[in-house]
Amino acid sequence: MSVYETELHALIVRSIDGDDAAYRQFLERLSALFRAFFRRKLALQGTAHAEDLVQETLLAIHLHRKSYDPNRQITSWVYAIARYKLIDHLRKTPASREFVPVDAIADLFSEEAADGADPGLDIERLLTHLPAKQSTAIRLVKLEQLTAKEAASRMGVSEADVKISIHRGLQKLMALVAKEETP
Amino acid sequence: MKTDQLVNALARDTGAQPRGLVERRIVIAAAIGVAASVLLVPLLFGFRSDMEHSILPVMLKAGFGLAAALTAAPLLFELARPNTRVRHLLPPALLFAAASVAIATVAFLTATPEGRMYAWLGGGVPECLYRIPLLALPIAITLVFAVRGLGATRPTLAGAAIGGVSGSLAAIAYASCCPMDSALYVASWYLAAILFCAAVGGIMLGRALKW
Repeated sequence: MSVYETELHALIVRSIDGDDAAYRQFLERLSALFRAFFRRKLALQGTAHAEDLVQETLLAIHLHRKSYDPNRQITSWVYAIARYKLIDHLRKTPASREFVPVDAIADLFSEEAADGADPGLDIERLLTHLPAKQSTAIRLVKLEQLTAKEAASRMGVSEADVKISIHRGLQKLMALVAKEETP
Repeated sequence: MKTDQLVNALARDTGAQPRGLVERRIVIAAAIGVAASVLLVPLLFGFRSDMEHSILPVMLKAGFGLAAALTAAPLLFELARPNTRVRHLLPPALLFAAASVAIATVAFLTATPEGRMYAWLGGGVPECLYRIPLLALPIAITLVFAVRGLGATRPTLAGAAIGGVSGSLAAIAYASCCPMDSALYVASWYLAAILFCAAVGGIMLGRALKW
């Protein structure tokens, strides 16, 4: 069993039990792994979309984490999602026969975090396409660090309502990101 | 938005996750679907008239559907989620189909020549070929709702598994109105109807399961 498996599995088990810090660490480890993964896989097409795919995959993992069974390998589970996203992306992108420019060759070997920035599209901007309730809920809880309860009282709705709005909003966001990627 | 911002956002205030959700959701959805399908039987076809004398054959036919559902269910549990490995789960389902074909063949060969065609076809086109898929519909619908959002990475196969499971469960409901008791009839047409459901499921439901 790989060293990643042991580490990631420990983290996801703790986060399933409600440990947010472990979950954050889990996602951080994953973003580094996925960055390397997508850059390798997209080497021939150009790695412009790699960071978008990293974010899309993280979002998909977040939304599907309820179907993860701790008795199974976590690495194969997360890579199955990453591969699904990759294939989806390749299917939407017209095949390109470009070679890897010599200058970009270093990208092929990017293994670690370093440059996690600059995705081609901006989730902040995509938020404006969501219904007001969903985008407000996501903004308050996910970006402004309020708890669901605080957000609920500020928005004048129930806490459950806030949570549902966040969930629906994130799902819609994922669809938007996928659509945006289509050239 | 930068990736670490996204990570921070996602990791905030998430709370504990339930366990065993995939199985639970599928079983609950199947139960609701079967209930709807059982209710449809008297509305669409009516229970068989000689019910009190034919408890045993009805139970046997329901058992056929149940056995099919039990061999197909593990496939659905697996295909409903990302990262599926189904090869080791296929033998029970294939064995069941092969046994069913074997039973049909033996029954066909051992039937008396004059009764053979009636035992096989029940006089005309076997009704279960369209009645079982019809009864499978509510089950397939509830199952799609259950499986959506679980992140199936092989949507077409997952759709076929939904079709197979709902066809098998529909056979249980259909047993209460099916007037044909010959093993030849059940082993050939029930199986054909279930396989038909699986094929349609793969073609039609795969799209609904994409994400």
